[in-house]
Amino acid sequence: MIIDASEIKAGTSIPCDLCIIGAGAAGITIAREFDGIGLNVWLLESGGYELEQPTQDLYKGTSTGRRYFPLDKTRLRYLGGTTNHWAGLCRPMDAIDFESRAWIPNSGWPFNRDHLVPWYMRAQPILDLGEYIYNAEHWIDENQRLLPFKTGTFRTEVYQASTPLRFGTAYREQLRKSRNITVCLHANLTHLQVDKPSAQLKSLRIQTLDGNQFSISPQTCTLACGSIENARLLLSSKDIHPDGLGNESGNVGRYFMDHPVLSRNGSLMTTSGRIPEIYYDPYYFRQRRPLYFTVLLDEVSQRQQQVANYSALFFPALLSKGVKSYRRISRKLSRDQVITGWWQHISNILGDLDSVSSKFYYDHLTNKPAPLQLDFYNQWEQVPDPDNRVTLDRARDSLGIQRVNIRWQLGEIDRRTILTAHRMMALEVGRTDLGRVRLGISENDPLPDTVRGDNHQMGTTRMHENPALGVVDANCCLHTVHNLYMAGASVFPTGGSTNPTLTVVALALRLADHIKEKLA
Amino acid sequence: MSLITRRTFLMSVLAASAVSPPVHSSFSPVDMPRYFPDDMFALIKEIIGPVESIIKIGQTISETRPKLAVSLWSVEFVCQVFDTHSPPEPDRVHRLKNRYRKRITSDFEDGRTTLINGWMLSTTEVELCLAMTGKLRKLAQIPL
Repeated sequence: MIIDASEIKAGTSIPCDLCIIGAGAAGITIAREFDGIGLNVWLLESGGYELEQPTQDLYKGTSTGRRYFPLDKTRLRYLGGTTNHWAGLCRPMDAIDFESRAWIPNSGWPFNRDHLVPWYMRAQPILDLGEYIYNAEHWIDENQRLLPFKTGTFRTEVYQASTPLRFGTAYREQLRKSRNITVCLHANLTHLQVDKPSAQLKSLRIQTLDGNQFSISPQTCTLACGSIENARLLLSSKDIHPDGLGNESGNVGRYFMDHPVLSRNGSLMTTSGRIPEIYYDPYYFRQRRPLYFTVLLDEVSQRQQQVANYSALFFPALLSKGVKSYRRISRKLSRDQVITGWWQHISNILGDLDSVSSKFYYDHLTNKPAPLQLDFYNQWEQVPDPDNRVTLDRARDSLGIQRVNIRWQLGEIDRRTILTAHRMMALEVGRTDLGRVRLGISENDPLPDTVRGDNHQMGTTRMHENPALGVVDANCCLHTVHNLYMAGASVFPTGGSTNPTLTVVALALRLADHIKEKLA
Repeated sequence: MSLITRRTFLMSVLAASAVSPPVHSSFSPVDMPRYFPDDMFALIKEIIGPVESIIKIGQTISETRPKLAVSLWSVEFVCQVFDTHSPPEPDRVHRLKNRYRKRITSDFEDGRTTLINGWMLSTTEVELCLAMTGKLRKLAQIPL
């Protein structure tokens, strides 16, 4: 059932078997796993069914270091969470992403990718994806081919695109009908109360924006509020440690990561127009689902060059002003339509005669395919750095909880990764005579200011078997509180170069299995 | 760079005469083609690429890398391309094209590359563009 927190009598203490905080991709996935199995489950959501500004404002915060997104814009705080504005691209992380790599400080997950595959497979239908196959060769027809990269340099895989599925809309009905799951909207967790001797979470203090307060006493609790809020809630709960819950080793909030992105940086000019269209076709569908072909730096190269993971999508270059005007005039003339802004078009064409004459030549004077320029959309792995972190700010939100500050900076390996990837791409493209590559950045230049994140917040409550090096264990349980779990990308020790949602849902399913076993 | 041998010296002199614009006269053998510039342009386009592109790249290189040295291989190759006594028969074109293609591939495989305005080009193609630009501009009657 779905209720509103304002309906709950003030001061009430509600017992339950499992309480999940946050109804985004991870929270809803875990809750659904408990539907109909006889346990009393509460799923708390700070927002309602739609975006409400006062609730969204709870996300406001500041950032330092490299320019980052406004914290109240990059995430959404209502039923379905940030899936309400995600793009829907999914791909599992690569095997190398789980390894402890000597050249990537603080890398290594407590398990390998093979371990996670069963949950990856279960995550596919939840995200409205097709078969669990990401090998590009599987998805092309007989007459299509992939770029002929030398083994060990680059390889092609696909992103499967979800609808994109809005979890709040897609699963609301199931949650509403559930007899053992209570979704409580407008319920904000403000404090986690822990019994120090037993190292057990005892109760959760819940508050609405209009002042109603009550508590929940769960046997087990999972925080699924995203990387920034998970850390914020732990840092704000100082009952047993002044630096925050689970923060004995000082790791809560640290190793904050995102995927560095450089859009339209570096490009490939074909010499013979032989780049298969599948690499830049935005409407390539198989099994009624869109697929996006991505070029990945192979793990052999990552090892040899000692760089992080890297992937690129190709976009056709933007047309110049002159060519746009030329195309518009040609189109209008061929349809006998009136041309407006005539002088502006002429001026654009005269100022860009080289491109326009080339376009004219390939349109009318030859049968050869025109050279094609493809720009790179670069997305790569950020090296986990303890100095990139979420900390509490002095300012407080309307619930009295301290707001956060994000420090996000990139390092030398992050710079070297994209540089190396572009150089290797240029060598491979030249070797195979596909064309020539223009490098996005120069050997000695710093990363440009245009590098941004990709709204993929990760890290902050990282998974590590050693309590001195992580916040949660391999089961995503806090090292110091035995019935408090973390769900979502906050547990990622490293983030690979792929979009994280599929891995988030796979880990949520794995966590649900673990909690079921524990509660049984 | 290898030591100068008699062969190197002779090749360099020959190449220089092919590449540099003549001071006063146009009586050197390479300036008296047995076939017309259009045929030469077609030959070069078939082997390397469009003449306009070569000239454009060559100009950029001479502006950005004025001290770039040209290897013996490139000097020899330019001489063969501009050998106006050998008509552009299919066999010859095919042979030159293959030689050029193999050289470019091995350049990229061995990392012999040069960055020009951010574009990674094979060092050989850079040298050829540089070496050919003067001669091509003259043939195309583009003012120097």
